Amino acid sequence: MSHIVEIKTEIRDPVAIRAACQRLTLPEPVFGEVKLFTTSATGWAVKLPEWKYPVVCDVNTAKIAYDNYEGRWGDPKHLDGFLQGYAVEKAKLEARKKGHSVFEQPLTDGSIKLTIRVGGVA
Amino acid sequence: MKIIEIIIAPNGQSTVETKGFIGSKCRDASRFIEQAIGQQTNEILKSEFHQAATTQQQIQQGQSHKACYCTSHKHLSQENFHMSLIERFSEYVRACLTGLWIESHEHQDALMAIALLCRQEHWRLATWDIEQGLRVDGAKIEANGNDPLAAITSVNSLATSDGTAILVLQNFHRFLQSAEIVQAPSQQVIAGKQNGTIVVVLSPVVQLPVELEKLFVVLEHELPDRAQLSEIARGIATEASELPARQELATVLDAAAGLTRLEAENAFSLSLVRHGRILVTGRCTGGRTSLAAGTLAGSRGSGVVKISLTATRIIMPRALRGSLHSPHCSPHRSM
Repeated sequence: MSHIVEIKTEIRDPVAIRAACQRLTLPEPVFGEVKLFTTSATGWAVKLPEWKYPVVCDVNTAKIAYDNYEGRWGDPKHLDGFLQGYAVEKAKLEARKKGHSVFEQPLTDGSIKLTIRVGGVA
Repeated sequence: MKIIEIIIAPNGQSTVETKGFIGSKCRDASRFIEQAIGQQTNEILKSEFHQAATTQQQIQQGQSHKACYCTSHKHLSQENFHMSLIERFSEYVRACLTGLWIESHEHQDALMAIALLCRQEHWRLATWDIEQGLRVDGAKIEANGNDPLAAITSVNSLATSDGTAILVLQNFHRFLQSAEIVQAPSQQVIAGKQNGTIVVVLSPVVQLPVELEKLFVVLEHELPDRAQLSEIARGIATEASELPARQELATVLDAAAGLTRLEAENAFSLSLVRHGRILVTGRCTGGRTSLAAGTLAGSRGSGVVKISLTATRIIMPRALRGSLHSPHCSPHRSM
């Protein structure tokens, strides 16, 4: 091994958003202006399970707008799950584009391990 | 073995770790993933990062033993050689050959011909490339964008009970190093027999991995013949004075043999700009060099070179085809 990098997920790709929704069996993301209790936001709206308002992803600024009233209107673990799903799908998409092969493996602590073989296996 | 390992935590934070790379190359290798997922918050360099390249040579050598691509493909038979690409393509689609590999240096020409045929035959056509993503009837489909794996499976959504659907994948040879991407066309070619979907790879080289070797039929998009070259020349030389006399035109067409349509067009145009007419001048050392110099292949009336040009025309599509099969050989025109 030669280096380790820690990365904070940023949502910038609508294709990966859609793939994450399919992965988590969420409704298809919808682009538009969405009302969040007192405010509103524009972007890709993702409806998380048991959340009162959707999560709105602005792919230009990578900002996520939501109002879950400190957990009363939506469990934060669902948002974390969506971020995880997005990161997995985005990494797989990018690896495939480069022609690398990707293997996915769930870990016992809930993490997901992706192994990318650079140059593929062919 | 060069590996990028990504652990994505339940909260969505990721850790990217590279293994088996030489020195700082790991940074370059994993940068695309790091930038795609999000923002880097921390980086730890391991001792191996600073390790001299020499100690890693053995790893690199191990990597070099990648499986060779096939060297024997089902090329078109000799009697079919005179048939145009589109005639052969039409024949193969009617015969329900569901995996076709078109070896072409002129993708736009090939695509236009295929689109025209599909319109005539009422076949549904979708095209995909990494830059433009999936397009059906020229319109971009947002879903799944430019994911090569999703592109292959998308052809099933075009299938109808009584129709034919064709998916053309441009430069797809670039993605066939991945095990899962090799698997997808393999399954799709089989599934296509049931639902009438055809997967077509449009590529300048024939690089079929061994898993797909027997599933795809290779067609060659032939270079323009004399009649087509003459048509191109006449299209560019609009004034009578710009076009050479009959005998000289024959020499020009001889010299232009072996060029693609675009190369011929460029050479004719450059000749017009430089000399005011299309003519054979200068000495040719190779297709690309001669084009850059604004001259067509040929040599100051030398009969010897003329013979070698004629030979090139024969050599190009036939003899060089063998070298195209090898991923390590690239086709160069020798004149």
